[in-house]
Parts: sequence; C-alpha cells; structure tokens
Amino acid sequence: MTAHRTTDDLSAFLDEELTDEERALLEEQLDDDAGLRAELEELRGVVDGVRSLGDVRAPDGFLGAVLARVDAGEGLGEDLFPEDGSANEAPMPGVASPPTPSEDNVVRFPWWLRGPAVAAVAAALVVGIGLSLRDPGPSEPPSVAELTTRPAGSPGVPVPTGTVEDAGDAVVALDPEELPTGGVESIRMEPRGADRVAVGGAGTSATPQPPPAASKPHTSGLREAEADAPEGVVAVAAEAFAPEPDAVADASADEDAESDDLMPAAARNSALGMAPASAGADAGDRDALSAVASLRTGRRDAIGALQDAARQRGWALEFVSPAGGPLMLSDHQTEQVVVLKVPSGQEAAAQRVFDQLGTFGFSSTPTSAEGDTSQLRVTVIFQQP
Amino acid sequence: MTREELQQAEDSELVRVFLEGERAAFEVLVLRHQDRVYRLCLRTVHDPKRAEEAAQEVFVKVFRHLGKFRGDSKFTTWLYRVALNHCRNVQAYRARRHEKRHDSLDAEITNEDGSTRTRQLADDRPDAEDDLLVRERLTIMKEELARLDPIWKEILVLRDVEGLSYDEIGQTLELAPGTVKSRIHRARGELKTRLARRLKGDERIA
Repeated sequence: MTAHRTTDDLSAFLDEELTDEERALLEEQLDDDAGLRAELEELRGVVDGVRSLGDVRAPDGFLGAVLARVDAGEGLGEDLFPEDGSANEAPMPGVASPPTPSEDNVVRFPWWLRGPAVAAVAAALVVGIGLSLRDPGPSEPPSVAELTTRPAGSPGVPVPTGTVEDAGDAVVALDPEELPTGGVESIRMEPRGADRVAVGGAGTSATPQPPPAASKPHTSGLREAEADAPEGVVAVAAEAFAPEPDAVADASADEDAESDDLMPAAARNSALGMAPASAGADAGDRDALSAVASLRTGRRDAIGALQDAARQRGWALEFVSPAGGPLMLSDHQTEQVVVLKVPSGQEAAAQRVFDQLGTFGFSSTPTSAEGDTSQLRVTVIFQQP
Repeated sequence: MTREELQQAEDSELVRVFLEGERAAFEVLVLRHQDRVYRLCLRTVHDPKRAEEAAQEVFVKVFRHLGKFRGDSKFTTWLYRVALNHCRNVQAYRARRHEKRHDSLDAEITNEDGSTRTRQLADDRPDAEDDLLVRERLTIMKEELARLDPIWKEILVLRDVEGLSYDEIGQTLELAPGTVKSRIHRARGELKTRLARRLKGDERIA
C-alpha cells in the first residue's frame, strides 16, 4: 500500500477536490488507519462549525442603502484596488474620514480663503458637498487647505478627472488634516445626497456641458453652474454652507441645544417661497448635525431650486400633493412629485436645467404633450439623513 | 429588458446590460449577491454594523468600476476579490485607529442581529443547558475564526462559508491550485488547535 502522501488530502477529501485516483488511495488508507480516521473526523467538525456560520443574510433595506450611497456620489475617483489599503480607506461608521485627494483634482486655497469664503465657492459647485471647516487662530502662519473635487458619474460612464473646472458636478471637502490646529471649531456637514434632485430616466448622465461664453477663459462646469444654474441654488447653498462661526461653535458644543439653525431663515424662505417650517419639525434631528445640514440644504433647497428655475423661465411647476392639499415639506418626507409644464420644444432645455442641478437619473415618467405644452413629471427623491 | 428577464439573466449578461446604461441590472446584481458579500464582510470585520457598511461600500465600488470586470472569470470571483480587498482595507483602517476589539471574558458581544449582550459562560437553568452549549460553541467558533490570521481566515470563509471551489479560490486570491489546497488544510488545522485550546480552557472555567 502506498503511504498517505500528505495530510492536505484530508481537507481536499472533505471538499471533494481529490481526483478519483487520489480519493481511492486515501479511502484505502482511512480503512487501515484509525488515527487518520480520527483526524478526518476532527477536521470534519471544524468544517461543519465554520459552515454553520453561513446562515446570515444582509440586513433589510440593503439595496436601498447602496443606491443611496451611489446617488450621493460615494466612491467617485477611488481606485478599485488601492495598493496599500491607505489610498482608499473606507470611512468607518461615525468616523469622519477625509477624502483622499489626488494631485490632479486638488485646488489649493490660501488659509484666508477658508471658512465662509471657501464655503461659498464650494456651494457654487452646486451639489454634493461635504465640508469640514476650521478657523485658524490669528497668530497661525498661513497654510493651505485642500479642496477636493469629485466629479459625478453615472452608470457606464467613466468618471472624469481633472481640476475643479472640469467638474460638471462635484463633491467638495476640505481635508481637516491639512488645516492648522488650535483654537478652532470644527464641523463636518455631509448632505449625503439629500440635496440631489433626482430627475430623468435611468442612466441620466452628469456629463459636462459645452461651456457658455464666460468672462474668465476657463472651460468649466463651475463657470457653467455660475452662468446657467438657477440663481437660487448658488445663493441659498452658499448661505447654507457658510454658517456664522458662532452658530457652528454653539451647535458643536451643545448638541442638545434647542436651536442649531445653520441656514438663515430668510434664505430658506426665499428658496422655498413659503413660510418656514415650524421649529418643532426639526427638533428631533438635532442630535446629528450632519442630518440637520442635510435637511436644511437638501430637501428644501432642492424644491426651492426647482421653483426658481421654473420661475426664471416662465415655466409652470406644480407640486403633486399626496393628499391633494397644499404642499407640505416635512422632515420625514422621502419624495415629492412635481409636474413641470414647458412650451413644446423646450423639453431638452428643461432636462438640462435638472442636469445642471446636479441630478442623477432616478425616477421620472416620459414627457407627455398637451397642446403646445409638454409636461415633465418628475419624482424628486430625498435621501433620508 | 424587463425586470423578470433581468432576474433570470446570468451575471455576465447583467453586467453587459448595466454597462449599456440599465441601472436596474445593477440592482438585480446587488439583490443576488448581497448576502454573500455581507457574510464575507461579517466574517472579516466581525461587527454587523461595520460589515453592513463595508458590504454597501463594496457594491458602490462595483457600481463605479464594473467596466473593469473583463469577464475572463466569473463575476462572483471578481466580486469576492473586490470585497476581500475592501475588507482588508477596512481592517487596516481599524488597526491604525487602534479600534481592534480586545474581547475579555466579561466583554460585550455584538450579535449577528446587531444587538449586544454580555458574554455568559454558564446558565443555571437545566433546560437551557443544551441550547446554551450550542450557542456557546457557535460563539466560540465565531470568535476563534475572527482571531485567525487573515491569511487563514479569508480562505476558510471563501471555502466553508461561501462554498467556493478550489479553482475559484485560486482565482480570487490569485494562488496556485497546490497552494490553495495546502493553505486550506493549514487554516483548518490552525482553527482546530485554537478551538481545542479554547474549549479546554472554558471547561475549566465552567
């Protein structure tokens, strides 16, 4: 009888990965060797034990969570297989992990341009803003903050890279690691896609548009946003993302405070064209500052931007109320159906407006015609904070 | 393609359809493979909440990089590679943040459903004895698997939890067939030794 070649065969035997010849040989040995049989049974116990751990299912709502993260622009510009595991660190739950900038899409700002000024610039990039701010102490030497842009993509469309000027849509973050320390207040606001107005059919692309004539000679999504996006978007977002330092300090220091209104009421009302929500409506969201930022800059700004866009162009915008009553934007609302009525022939222009709001294809119904007017029925999806 | 057609399509077909712009194909891929990716993440990062986060991030990566799947291997093989790579990074991140959990005998344990409990070594109720034994053994199995060196743990999860063939494991981990075979056996031996040591110790405590 041939000696047992290697104990590796015992595992392969259990896994049915031996050839017929190898299996026959091992079976012969098992018949003759009680020790080998005992070893095999011990191994079988280990295998059964590990296999018993396999009865686990993904949590409910998993797909929705994945799609929300996709729509929020996560993963843009990241490598699939980073070399050393440091280039694309996965952000841990509850841990604010700065995005990893690459040299080709980083714009450096002098320290004095940080704070509200940077926030305003960031806001001009329209949507998808994650922002960390630190105010330097007066005696600190000048340094730079990094503004990292991540252009938005869509299924099957290669993610464009380049400078901020090339971005049609952007996620912006300041890297706190690069900022000076001492005497600072810090806030991280992550809209997590809440201010993305989801419009158009599946696969709608955020492809950069040809640049319009501009006073500065750079071709840019930024320039385009400044020129063509509805005024309300930039103005409101800028105010929303440029909180007064004191307001930030108060909110950071006391998460249980009664009020952490990061967005001035006047700006919000202006964006909405409606009365402000009651103070009580937001009370439950104060424990998560980012959630508050999402609500304030997302849900209402999205609707406000739509209203402004329609108003500027003389288009009719109707909100389809689920209950048939007046529009009520609650903090727990997940979507809003709107109907945009545009003169025939302007459908493409309407779609472009939505695209310029930083949209992703998500949900819509085909355009329908009614006389000289076309209707675009759109479901605006709000991501839950 | 209709939803029904998508659900019946092979993975490779779903990939093709997705790359042509049909987002629903990606959704079908997620639904089809979410359990296995979550399991892999759970057995690698050992915390349900982190595993859920990590598994979601894996699919975000898949969404962004599906065009890089060349189709010369099974989609699941590519998916496992993406998932394992991501989970390694997650673990590396935790290690750098000194977040490694050091279980002690009275440590709080996170259950599969996300709830927590304090470890119990014994239960006084006689009718709970058998059930407790099974649960304790299962817990010990999870904990010792979690403590294995990643090189052993990954291959055991791929083989015994996910049921990949040796050939598929070789493609996923980029190992030669002989290496897969010997590594699986060594991994099981390592776990067996740990379990024996642990059970012996726990019996003394009880």
